[in-house]
Amino acid sequence: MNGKSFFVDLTLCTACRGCQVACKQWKDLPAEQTRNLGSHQNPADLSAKTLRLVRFNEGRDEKGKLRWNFFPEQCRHCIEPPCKYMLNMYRSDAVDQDAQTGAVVYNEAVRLAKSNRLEPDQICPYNVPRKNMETGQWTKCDMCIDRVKDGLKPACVTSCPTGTMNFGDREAMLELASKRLAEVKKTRPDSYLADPESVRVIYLCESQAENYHTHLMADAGQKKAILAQARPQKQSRREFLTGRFSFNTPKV
Amino acid sequence: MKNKAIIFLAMAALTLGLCFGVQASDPEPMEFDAPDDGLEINHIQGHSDQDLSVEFNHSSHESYECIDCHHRMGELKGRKPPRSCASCHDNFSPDNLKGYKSYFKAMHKIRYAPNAPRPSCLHCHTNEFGSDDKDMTGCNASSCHSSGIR
Repeated sequence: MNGKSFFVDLTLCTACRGCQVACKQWKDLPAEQTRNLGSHQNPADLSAKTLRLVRFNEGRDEKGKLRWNFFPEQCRHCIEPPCKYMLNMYRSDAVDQDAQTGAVVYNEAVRLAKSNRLEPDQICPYNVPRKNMETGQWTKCDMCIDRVKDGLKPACVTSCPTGTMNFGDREAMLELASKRLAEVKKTRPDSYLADPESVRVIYLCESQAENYHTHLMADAGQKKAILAQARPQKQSRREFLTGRFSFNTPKV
Repeated sequence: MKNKAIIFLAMAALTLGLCFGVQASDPEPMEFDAPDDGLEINHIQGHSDQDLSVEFNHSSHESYECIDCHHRMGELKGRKPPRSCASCHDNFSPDNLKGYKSYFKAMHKIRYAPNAPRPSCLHCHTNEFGSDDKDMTGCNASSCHSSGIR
């Protein structure tokens, strides 16, 4: 028994956000104040009230063609969950890994001390868990463990109309993932599965990881690539100012 | 009366002098060379399917005293080289965090009390860089686990 897994086929996602709404409804989570940030993505980030978020990102593929990528983000339910090790240092009953399904479940009764100022990046390679600032309680997707124990699929999977979200025994999902990958590779040879050995939410991606989101994969390579793009070369203040106001500044 | 005081002072001075003399005759504390840079630390190996190794460079931590991390060094009185963290924190399973033996805890626990003793790696990094600097305190692709947690 290897537990359960999700297979999320990003090539099929149309960003209808059915999963985002279904999650919010099943978890009975309140709305939050949002504002238009120039994207269809809403809200801007995961929070204690939004455990699942469809991210919208624009990126260019290797041929320079513009692509609009949709990335329904959730907890990956790591096989070896760092958040469990991290949070359990402070309260030994904070996080539990369900033996039957492998779901990483946070204990809702545990509230860490107010003085505890852990950040999501310090406990999760995918930057997913969020702290409820009012209660001090850490929250994230729990694989709808209540539904799964009753033989149902998680709410997000049930709501998906395109076949993007799939849920089942881990072996079956891995098999489905590799079958689907082989199919997609016929037209998009650069497709890949994101961290399939170490997580229970396996994304099939057809675009570079950084075109979806900074934390699609727990890998340093993609992050370096993003930083290299985003960070300008080192330049002095003088170079910066002169370069900005004159077109013919010789490079020192 | 005055004589008594002078004798007392002289005795005190003599005692102090003897103390210093004894101390001076102690062997000089040894000088230790830190291990070369590029030291790969991977004690969790065998307790995880992932590569959770950390490359530690003593040179980039030169501004700290040895005893800041090797916190039992005082007991060795400079006569023996400092020991590895793993010689005491020898429970290498990241899943068993009870007591001081947990290696994972020794490297990661942040004590939020001010001036807390025996800081962990993450504690010191968090104090130095702030908990939102994910390049220095994040768990993935950070200065510690630079090649990612995979």
